[in-house]
Amino acid sequence: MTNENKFSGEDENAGFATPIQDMIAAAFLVALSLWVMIESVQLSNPGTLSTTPGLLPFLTAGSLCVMALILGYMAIRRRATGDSAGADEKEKPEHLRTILLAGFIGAYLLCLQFLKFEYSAVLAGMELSYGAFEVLTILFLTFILAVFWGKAIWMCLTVSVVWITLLAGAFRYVFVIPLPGSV
Amino acid sequence: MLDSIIQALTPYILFVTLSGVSLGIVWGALPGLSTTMAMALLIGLSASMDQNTAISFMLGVYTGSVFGGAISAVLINIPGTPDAVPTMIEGHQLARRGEGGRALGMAIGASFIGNWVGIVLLVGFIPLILAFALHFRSWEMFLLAVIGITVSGSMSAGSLPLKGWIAGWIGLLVAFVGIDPIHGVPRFTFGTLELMDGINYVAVLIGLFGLAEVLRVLPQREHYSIPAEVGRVIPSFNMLARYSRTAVRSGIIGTIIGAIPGAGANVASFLSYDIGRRRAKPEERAKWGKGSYEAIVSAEVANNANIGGSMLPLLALGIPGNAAAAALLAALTLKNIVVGPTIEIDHPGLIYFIYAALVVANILMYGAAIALIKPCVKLFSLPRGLLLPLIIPICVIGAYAVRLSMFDVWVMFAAGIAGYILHTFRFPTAPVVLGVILGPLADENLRRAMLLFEDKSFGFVLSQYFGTFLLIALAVIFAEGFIRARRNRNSVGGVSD
Repeated sequence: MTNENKFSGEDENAGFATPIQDMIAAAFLVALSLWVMIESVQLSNPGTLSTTPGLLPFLTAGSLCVMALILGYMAIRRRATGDSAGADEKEKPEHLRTILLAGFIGAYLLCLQFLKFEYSAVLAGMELSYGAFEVLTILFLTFILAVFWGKAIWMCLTVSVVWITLLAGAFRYVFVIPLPGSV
Repeated sequence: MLDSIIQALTPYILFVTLSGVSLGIVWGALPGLSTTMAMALLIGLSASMDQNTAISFMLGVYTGSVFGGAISAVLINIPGTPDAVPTMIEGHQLARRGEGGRALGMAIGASFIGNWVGIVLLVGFIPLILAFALHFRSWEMFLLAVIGITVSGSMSAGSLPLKGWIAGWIGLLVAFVGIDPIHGVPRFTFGTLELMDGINYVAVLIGLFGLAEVLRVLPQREHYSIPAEVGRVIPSFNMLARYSRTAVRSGIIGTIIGAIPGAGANVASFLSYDIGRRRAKPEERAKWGKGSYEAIVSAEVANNANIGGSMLPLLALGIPGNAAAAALLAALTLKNIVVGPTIEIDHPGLIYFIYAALVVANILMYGAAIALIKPCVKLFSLPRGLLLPLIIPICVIGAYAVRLSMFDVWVMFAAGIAGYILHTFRFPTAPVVLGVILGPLADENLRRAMLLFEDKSFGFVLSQYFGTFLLIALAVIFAEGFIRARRNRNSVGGVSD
């Protein structure tokens, strides 16, 4: 086995990040665990201390805090020795494009949350519905395909219409599961 | 048992299993789409099925997708699933020599045998583990849940187990949201009605393994090479018979690894591949890395035997062996099936149906794999920019379908972003899922045990022999993890104490 293909764990990406990244993660985790500990103590307790609802959350947050401190300490030690190992060399992250994609998905979900409509038509004796999910998803998918696939709009639109009609049809009529945006 | 086999062989269930297997193979074959992602996204589809149909469908997807990874590994040198990396190393070398079809045939045969070994060991060991597990009470169940999350963390983040544990602990914190199961006190809900029921872990699963992958992979600018010619794909049983010892050894390795929480098909295939190389005859060992059929048998038998192995702790203890088994647990929970030590009492006959469904899925996988390899090659030519956006609506429907709630869709979105951030900071995501799933089990059992231990001495706690044994095991897992992290820190960073 070459070094490149050498196995280090079930999730091959997991492990040391850059010291700065590990320090940021540690700081965030310490803050999170302290907050959870405070919230756990403030929970009402109808029984005894041993059955208090905040018992395991408090213990979990406390031990998480210790682990975060160890992570932070290790990162500080690594930084002090000038170690920059941990950067992912195989994968070049495209954070800006990812943020844009997440933004598009967030906007699509917002539309899905607030726009609810459904039209029905009887075709060959069968009632077929087309609702907010289909319309919004086709628009969203066409846009995403145009950006990331880079083909002509009509091709993206065709793929979206065919895919969403099949998908929505399978869920609506085969598995009888309502879709988001349905009235 | 006979009833279960007859049920699994009804035409409708056969059709559904075949659909699951086919979907799994295609999904597993597509680079970037993992077994867990397939399982997580298809839970929504199983929501409206009856209990037996849903089980058969999900087991079909599981069986198919584990094999599917081998197709792209051999033909285009990109593993469809991470556990197919050893198959890629060997299989692609064979494909370049024009033996791609034979390599895939060997992978199919090896997967088939691997599944059988896993099933046989599952059937053989479940009664033993169940008999043992029936002695577990609240304290032992709490410790078992914590061990599950801790081992998962250790196995997921090989070089730095600390990050795996942190990920598992984050999952635990997520699990505490909602009404507390003993006193009915709302915890971390901030007056939000939707949070009273807790956070839906199917949505978390879909976010972490579905949307997070889309967010990570879609923005990358990368192109695939054109697929190679496949040739004739018929498994040669003569060649498989030649490697029968390797197959049995790899099957046992795969099943044992599968039974360890957090250690999935990736660990199984790499470990078996490594042990196989050490144990191979010198003339065979010389071929490893340059296209060895024995190496393919080692990896493929192990990663498929892992399926049966991962079912052992899932069915007997309620602790999923890996993230894909966690998705299966989610699908079972949706059908009100509580797995664990009392499975045979709560759901008589179910365990036999699961055995039968696994056998049927394995047989169907064999045929479907041969039939689907050539269509899969066509799919490889589809660019990621086209393929991955099509997954986003499946994530949305999958998260929505379980409780028909848009709130769950937002949970999925948040989990997807969290998964992306965790990946960027190099934390594993599988322990998060285990934490979310096992959190309620740990919480409820700890407090029950504390009630039992109230006013008792520490000696009384230690007199619970199973519990004390598990407590020592937990301490050993933590100690081993810290030693490993310290050793790796020294080798990575050159830090010395």
